[in-house]
Amino acid sequence: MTPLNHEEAFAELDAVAFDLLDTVERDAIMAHVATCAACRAELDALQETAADIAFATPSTQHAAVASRERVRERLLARVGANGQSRKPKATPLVFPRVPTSPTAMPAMPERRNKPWLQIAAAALFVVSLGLLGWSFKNQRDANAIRSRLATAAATRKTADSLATQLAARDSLLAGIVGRDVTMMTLTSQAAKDPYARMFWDRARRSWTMIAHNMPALGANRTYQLWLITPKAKISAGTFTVRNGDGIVRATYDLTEPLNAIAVTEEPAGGVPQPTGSVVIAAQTR
Amino acid sequence: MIRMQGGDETALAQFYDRWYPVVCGLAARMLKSADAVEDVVEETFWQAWRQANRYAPERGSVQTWLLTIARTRALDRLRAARRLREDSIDDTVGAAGDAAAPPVVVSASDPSLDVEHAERRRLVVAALGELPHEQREALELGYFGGLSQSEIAERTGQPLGTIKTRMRLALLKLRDRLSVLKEGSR
Repeated sequence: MTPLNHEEAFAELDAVAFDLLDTVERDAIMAHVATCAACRAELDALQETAADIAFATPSTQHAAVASRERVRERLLARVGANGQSRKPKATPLVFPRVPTSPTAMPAMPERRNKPWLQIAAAALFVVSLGLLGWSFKNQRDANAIRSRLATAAATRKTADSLATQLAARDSLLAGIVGRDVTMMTLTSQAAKDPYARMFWDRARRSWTMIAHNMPALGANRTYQLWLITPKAKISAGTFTVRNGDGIVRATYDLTEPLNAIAVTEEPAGGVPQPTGSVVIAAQTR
Repeated sequence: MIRMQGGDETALAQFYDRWYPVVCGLAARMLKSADAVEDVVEETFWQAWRQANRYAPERGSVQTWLLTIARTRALDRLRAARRLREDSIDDTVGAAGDAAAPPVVVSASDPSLDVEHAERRRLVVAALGELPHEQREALELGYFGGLSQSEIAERTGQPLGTIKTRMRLALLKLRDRLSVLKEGSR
């Protein structure tokens, strides 16, 4: 196949980002991308945008808690099993095989004349009963073990869930009360006195703003947080409020001096540059 | 990610809890069967766990990496189902046509993550809603339906070049519209 030139490959990057090509087509384009920084950067950006589209999907009933927990349990069990060395094979239970082939049977005509055969049969019966009882006991033991494993799995799941919640709260707390966190208070002149506190963790480049008493938003409106530097007004995310309270978190490596922070009301989804009136603001310099 | 790369199973559990709603939402949008959705979700996180070391931050965000895996797994399933004639393209297209359905946000363990994902969802839905119908249709048939550009052209009765142009324009507009999101999360 003739190698693609830049224009040909560039024109197909959308389809690559959407994974809509067959292997041969994709390989031909990727061969060019591997040698072209511009196409590589464009493809990365397109894939980033394509991934964002996933957020447009409404969660459905598939996302029910039972399903979520079921998959979680399967996943973690799979990870656990994969991490173990090969399990020893279980020793199979061996039951005495009762001969069924005529060739394996003693000669029938002499049966009545052989009392030892009856004794052996009776002994075999007793042994079989014993083995049957033993297998039932094993079954009970196995059930008990399965029950204990299920209990252990449930306990572990609960512990994982608690650990997850704790880690999330630790993260939030670290963003608020960390040693290097700077706190700024945003205020307004409005009658309802909305206010907010911004926690800026420089080390983690983390921004957490918690707002209170914010006026209710109209339909298709949102609040948008801005970091204002001498050169730019940088969006740090949008948020809505519930009973006047709202929170917005962002990670942004601010390299310029911070002059002010402001929250404006904007069309839903936010805007590249502020257009609405400032609801709350704080000067930092 | 760093902890996952180090083999920390607890990190995987946290990663799962954080990203499950989005991954499940995407799989549910692309596939009809609840079992298939569960399988795709499990396979996505399993692959993320197994290939955590392959994640390269300089190439994109964790969400891009994970959602690309999720969509690829869902596409595999979708295409395999088509090959087996267990699923029809008509059904797929039907599923891809309800993007305007109101999102039902699944509660995550961290309320702030709910807020973050909900904000991102609102922005993306708004950006898609601003696209002209024909551009959005082409985008959704490709993204959620897994139809090739030729198949989209055939289905919509438009020339292949027109479909390519529509998808290109749609992606460029989306990228521009979502740039505010990138600034906030970078």
